[in-house]
Amino acid sequence: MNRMTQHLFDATIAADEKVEPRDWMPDDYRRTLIRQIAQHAHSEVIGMQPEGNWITRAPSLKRKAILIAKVQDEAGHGLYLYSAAETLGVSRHELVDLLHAGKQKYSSIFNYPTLSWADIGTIGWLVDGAAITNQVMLTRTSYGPYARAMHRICREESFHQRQGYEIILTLARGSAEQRALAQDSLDRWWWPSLMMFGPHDEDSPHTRQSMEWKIKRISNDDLRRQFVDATVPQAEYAGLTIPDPDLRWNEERGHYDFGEIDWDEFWNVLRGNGPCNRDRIEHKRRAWDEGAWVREAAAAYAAKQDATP
Amino acid sequence: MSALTDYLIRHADDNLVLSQRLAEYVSHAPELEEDLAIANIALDHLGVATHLLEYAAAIGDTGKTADELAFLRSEREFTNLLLVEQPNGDFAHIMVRQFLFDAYQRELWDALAHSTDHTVAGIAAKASKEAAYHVRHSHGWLVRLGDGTTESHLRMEQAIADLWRFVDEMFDTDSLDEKMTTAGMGVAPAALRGAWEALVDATLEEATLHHGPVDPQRRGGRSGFHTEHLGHLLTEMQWMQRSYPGLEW
Amino acid sequence: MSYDVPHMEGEAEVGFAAADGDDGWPRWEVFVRQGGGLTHVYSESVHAPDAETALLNARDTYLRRIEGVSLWVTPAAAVTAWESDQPDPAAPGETGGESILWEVFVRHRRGLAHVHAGSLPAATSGDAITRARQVYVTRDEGVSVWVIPSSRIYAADPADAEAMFAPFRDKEYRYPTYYDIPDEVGYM
Repeated sequence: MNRMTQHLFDATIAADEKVEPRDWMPDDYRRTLIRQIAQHAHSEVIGMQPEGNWITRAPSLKRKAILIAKVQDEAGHGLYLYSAAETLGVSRHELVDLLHAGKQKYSSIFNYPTLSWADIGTIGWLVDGAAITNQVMLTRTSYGPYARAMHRICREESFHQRQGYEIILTLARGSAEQRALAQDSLDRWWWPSLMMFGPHDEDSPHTRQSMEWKIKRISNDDLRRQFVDATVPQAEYAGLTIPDPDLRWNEERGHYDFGEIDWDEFWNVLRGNGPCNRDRIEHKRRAWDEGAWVREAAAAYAAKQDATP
Repeated sequence: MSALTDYLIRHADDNLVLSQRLAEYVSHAPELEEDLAIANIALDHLGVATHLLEYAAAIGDTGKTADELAFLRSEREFTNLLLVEQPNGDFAHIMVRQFLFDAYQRELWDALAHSTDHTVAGIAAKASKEAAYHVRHSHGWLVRLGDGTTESHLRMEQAIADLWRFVDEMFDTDSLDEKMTTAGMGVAPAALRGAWEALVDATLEEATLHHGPVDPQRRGGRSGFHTEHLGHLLTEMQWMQRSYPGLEW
Repeated sequence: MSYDVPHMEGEAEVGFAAADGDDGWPRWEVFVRQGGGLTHVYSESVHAPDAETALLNARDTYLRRIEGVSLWVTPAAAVTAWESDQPDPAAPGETGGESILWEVFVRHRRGLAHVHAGSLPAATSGDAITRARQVYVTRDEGVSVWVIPSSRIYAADPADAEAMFAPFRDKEYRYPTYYDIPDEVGYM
């Protein structure tokens, strides 16, 4: 190992500067980054499905346009992240193959079904809310292309949460039936949203290394706490009840105390036994397989043009 | 209803129904970049439809809002072309349907950009730019798939065979078109056919494709006589507003 | 959206070799000059089978919220890169050939994107790097230089600018200000 390069890597991290493509980096740093960026990219792309499920049934012209634009953004975010991952020496194709084979993961939140229009509001409000909490942190991540992708994503994400909460407020101010839709949706999505932040810090063995390399800047529990503190007043404003009997303001700590996550459910969904795990991958695999002839045709046409003098 | 209102609604319906078809396809495209492209085109068509329906609503003789026009009319009241309500099928069908319509839209909006109705002209000017981009995109696919592999070529030939019978309806000129054209507000679709054919013929040739024996042409959309496909499309699209009548979303 | 997804059994470790026999479309690098901007800035990449598709894909991906004025794409394989902090930062050595024009892009510091610096003639990518360093690079750390044959850069035709760049404008719902969120719920 060339000491100069390890030294430069360490100094770059310590100075809060960015590691850039083609820099020397420890194998584990590269592996960790590829895994994290790929998972993030896969999450964006899989995330198109639960929301895409309601595009054709959006209840107004405006809501339909907003939802198409949001799902389009998610495709774009996946694309920026695959692009960043490729600078580490892998191809997007390789990563997509691993996703289809179940050998790389995506965020479990997308393994839950969207059962009502209100879920589109809740996903924007809670799921994007949680994502933004995490993503703002990631704009300071140590790998340059990842940080730049995160800046781009954060700028675009700013309407995602707002449109979701606007839907929820509209329902909350609507008929009794609409209020019930909003409450039912919150009941189903609250705990999965908290699970998005991952295991407790002490149960997350990779967190320590990720934080030393400044890939991750804030711990799981701290991010989760931040999210709860921001979201409780939003639920109260909408007149909705968070389904946690242990939720209460702790004056001494200056944060909300909340109940314990059902970790059995967490691990079960992660292992592939959530409501939609199978459907999400099947959908992707089918789209990819059915599109093979299209990709091949385009490549064949390009080859013909190159061959023509 | 006034001739202008009917005219606006007919062109809105074309764009609304096609937008719905494209929206079904988001997250199913052959590559991520194409999902982005399809979503973009769907948004463009939805935007045009929304502008036209909002204008129709503002004129006031329907007594309905834009959303009510979109979500509460029955299939016999929709006046879109039969072409745009055809189901997605494979990517070849999606692109052939798109290209045939894009080539027509480009001529239509270019002409309507000169409408004596100021609002129509404004909507058309924007739509014209979008249509130019759509043509570029769908033309590109026709050529790549027509002159790609044996499989892609065969699929394209099949798509053309399936969709060609909906072409003539695009250029039918009825009394509404004539009234609007006389007033300087609209354009006779028949007048657009020459330019459409020039582009389509050149594209098919470049793509090594043909449109084969011409089946009996299907028409009737402008009078609300649709194929069986539209009912299902509207069932899905209108479900929320019909299940929860009169609410804000 | 990103979360901490714990390692599970059966997860693959990803290799470092670029996939061979990949039926995926190749990577194209994208450069955008914004309205009011003086130069093209690197904007990440798209996959596409050819230059024309790459231009359309780049527009749909990177110009949904910003006013583009000019768009360039180039096959990733056409880029020759040099970094000041490589263990052995000698420029690639090749010889001979006729002089062609190269476009030069420079990342002046870590953390920034590459920016178009100008163009210069050279016979080889190595010569192009050497000259680019002389002309455009003042620092000696954290710098990256890309040189690309001008002939390998495909630009959106200015004649198509209206169709390429204007339509993003009509989509206000992409901006946070479109949504009515009460101040009482805090920052969102």
